[in-house]
Amino acid sequence: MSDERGGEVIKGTLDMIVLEVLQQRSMHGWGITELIERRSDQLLSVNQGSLYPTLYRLVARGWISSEWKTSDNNRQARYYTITRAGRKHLAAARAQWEKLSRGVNLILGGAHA
Amino acid sequence: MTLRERWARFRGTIRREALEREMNREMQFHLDMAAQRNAERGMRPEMAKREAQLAFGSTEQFKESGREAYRARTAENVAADVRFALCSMRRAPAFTVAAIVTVALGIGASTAMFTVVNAVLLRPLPIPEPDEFVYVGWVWAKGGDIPALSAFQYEFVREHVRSLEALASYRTDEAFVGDESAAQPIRGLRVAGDFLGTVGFMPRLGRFFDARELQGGEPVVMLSDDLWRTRFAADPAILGRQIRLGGKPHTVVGVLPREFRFPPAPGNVGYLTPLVITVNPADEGHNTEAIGRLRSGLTQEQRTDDVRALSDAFRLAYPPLAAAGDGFRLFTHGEVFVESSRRQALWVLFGAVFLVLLVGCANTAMLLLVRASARQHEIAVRASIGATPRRIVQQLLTEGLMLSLIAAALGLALALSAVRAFLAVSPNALPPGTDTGLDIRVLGFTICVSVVTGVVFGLIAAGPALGARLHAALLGGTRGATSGHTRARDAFVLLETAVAVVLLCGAALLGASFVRLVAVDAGFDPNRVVAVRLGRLPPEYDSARRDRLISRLLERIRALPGVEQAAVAPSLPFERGRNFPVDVADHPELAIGAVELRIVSPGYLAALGVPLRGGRDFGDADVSRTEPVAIVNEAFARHFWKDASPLDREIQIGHFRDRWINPGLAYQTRVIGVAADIREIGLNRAPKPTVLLPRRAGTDGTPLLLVRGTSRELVNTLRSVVVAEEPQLAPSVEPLSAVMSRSVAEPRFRTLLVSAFAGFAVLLAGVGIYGVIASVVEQRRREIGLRIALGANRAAVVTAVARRCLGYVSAGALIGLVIFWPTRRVLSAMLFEVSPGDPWALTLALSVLAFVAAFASWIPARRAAHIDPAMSLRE
Repeated sequence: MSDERGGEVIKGTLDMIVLEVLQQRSMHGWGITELIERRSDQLLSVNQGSLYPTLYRLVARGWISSEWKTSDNNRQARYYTITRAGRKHLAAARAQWEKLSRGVNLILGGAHA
Repeated sequence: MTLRERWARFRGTIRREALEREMNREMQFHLDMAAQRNAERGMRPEMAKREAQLAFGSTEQFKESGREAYRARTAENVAADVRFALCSMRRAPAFTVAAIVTVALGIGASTAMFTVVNAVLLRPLPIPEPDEFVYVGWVWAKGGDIPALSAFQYEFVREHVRSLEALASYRTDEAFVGDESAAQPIRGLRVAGDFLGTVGFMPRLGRFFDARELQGGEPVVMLSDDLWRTRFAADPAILGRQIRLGGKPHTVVGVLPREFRFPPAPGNVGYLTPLVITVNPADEGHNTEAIGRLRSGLTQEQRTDDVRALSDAFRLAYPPLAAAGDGFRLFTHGEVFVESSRRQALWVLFGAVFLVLLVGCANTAMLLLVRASARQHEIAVRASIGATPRRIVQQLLTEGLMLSLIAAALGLALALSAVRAFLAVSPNALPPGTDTGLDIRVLGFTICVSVVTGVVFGLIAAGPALGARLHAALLGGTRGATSGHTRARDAFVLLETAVAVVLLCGAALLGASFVRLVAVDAGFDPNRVVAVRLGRLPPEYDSARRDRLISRLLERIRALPGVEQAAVAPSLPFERGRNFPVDVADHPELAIGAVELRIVSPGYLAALGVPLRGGRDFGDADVSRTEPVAIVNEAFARHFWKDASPLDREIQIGHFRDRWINPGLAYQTRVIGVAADIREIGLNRAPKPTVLLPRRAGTDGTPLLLVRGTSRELVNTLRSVVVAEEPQLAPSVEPLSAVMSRSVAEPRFRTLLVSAFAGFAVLLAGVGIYGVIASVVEQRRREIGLRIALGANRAAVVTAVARRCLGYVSAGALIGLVIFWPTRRVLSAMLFEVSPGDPWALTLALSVLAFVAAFASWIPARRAAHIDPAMSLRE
């Protein structure tokens, strides 16, 4: 999951990132890719197609839901929205992530913090 | 096909296609957007597209993962839900058993009833091409028809009909097969014409009778598959062998196929023998059964035209035998055997049983509500750890469905044994040839019922579980869930009470009608009369020998101690008799096309106990003398002569409006007596005009003996007297009261059934009322305790509880009566001398409900009155 422009997305964190993006507002797949790249200052990049399996999995878990809406450029696009269950999961995952990254940073001596 | 492909196909192409379409559209959108951005960055359009596709990767691969996620979600969830449902059922065994038993009873009862409805009204006959199987009969222009012909008409149809490819006649028969004298006689058929072709079967072995055999050549027989197996060990060399049938050797020419069924004749057919139809112009009675098979490929119009042409030809050829407009008619099996009144009765019963199912479901729904509120906590936990409302509803639906499917399986087993038991108790309740086995329709019905109830159960359980959101929206306030729950439970109790009222009203009316029916004065006393059917006489008996046997029997029976009178009758009351047209010379316009005709011996009226209203009974002199005499009943006398005396008037039997219908049986007779009317057509039918004629020597047909006596042993004594006189006879002897009881078997059965339904419904309604009131008392324990502590009278507490119960009963009764009102007209067809709005019956129904409700609330009311204030306040 990498390309020449950005770093690798650690397995399992993509769920969290997508949920976080959607927590701001509903978005279609293309918009999510763009937002991830922009907000991570192009550090992170999602292999574009592989976003979709993630989205489908999140829908299946009941963390996000989807509906067809008209996009800014007047085309029909599938917008994803975070659900209540999704928000709860995100909160739990975020706490988990913070613990993990603090631990990892401590071990690595905060060299790259 | 791999398992996965099968599964993919199974889960339904429609949803799958939608999934594919959405994924395609979504990914195409992404690619277009990416290409657009690339173009904005200055790439040439085709380059921009290619880049976008490269960056995206293989669409196919990602789509597959979408499919995978979808598949896993469905399959895993269903399996998990089923596991979970079983688990939660095990955790609450009392609830599960109560719910399953209630629903199983409801589904069982409605499946049983549907089996009967299906067998009688919906299912095709168990013969090949059942739609082409018809009965040929006669219809009179002035009204009335009969699905049978005279022998003369039968011969005419056989020669001239074009729309039938086969025509046959039959008569039921009974004979001893083989030499075992102790064995029961076997039922069989005597058949004429192309019988096997008409019914639609081919012999399993050998052949059907040839023309010479059908004309009464040497005696031959065809055996049923069953008889061939059980009596002759399925001997393949049976053809050509001689077996004894009714004491005479017959050559076996064929064996019927195992699947042979003959819808018109009840019971198993053990054998066929030829029936010779003798065309006796004197016998104008419609006593030849005629069945036919329609030529296939003819339109309905062509058939109608052919039958009309046939009738015209008959009228033209034999003007005295048919009036203008009289003619042949084809009947279907349903028209012959299922009268419209019975058809209606079946639907009414089916409706009643459905109400029972409804009550059962309402009760179970109340249980589910109670359980659902107990499970609110569990569900809240599941929701908080991430279950979507949709998942929770899906899971509760699975539970509801599991419950109702288990109940359906039990109910189906219950229904099958109930139908079997019912048929064992009253084998004649269904038309002959009715197959009540399980078929795809019954199975489909049960599955539909259980799926619908299961879904409803699931939704009920999900109602409170859907959480405060829904309830807040609906009712506002935080106490929404509880009050919504209470409201739903009130609705169920009202529903149950209302349905119980409908069923109770029906049962009370049918019961009142039945009581009136059996209390009808038949005009004679069936308890002291015994009927003796001699059965088929041995073939060596000619009419002279038969007459000698009968007079010897009468002599011996009259000499028995306790016997007051014995006489010969042509048929029994409540069974089909013969009809003839009759008119009188002075009032030809009053002619009656079908007068009941009874050819009886002197003493017939005395044996039945029918009083004479005037004139005298037949004497021995009337039998031998040449001057014909007749006795008429009051209905006959009233019809022709109003209040004037009918004695010594002339009547013309076989004469109808200026014509002798049948020259062979034309009587100009003089009325010598008037008999009281009796209800011999049926207890619920007004007496019909009837003529009695003295039985003379040589009258054909095997008569019955009616014996009036007091001895308890009479039935056995009579049997031994008959057998002593002619050992070859197998007489059937029974009190006339048994015959009468059979004639009301159907209304009795209906009444019992609806009463049982009503009982079940009122019981469940009682349980429902009890449950609600008990829980109200439980919830308000503290309040009641407080009131008592403040000096409230215990009686006042009971009154408060009773008032609540009264509320349910009166509202339920009102709704019930409103539902019941429109069904009155349907019900009135089943009622005898009771109006469907009969106030007494309706009052009785409501009293039963009130009593049950009072009992149901008495227990919690007593508990409320005995609440100890000290205890309840400290709780």
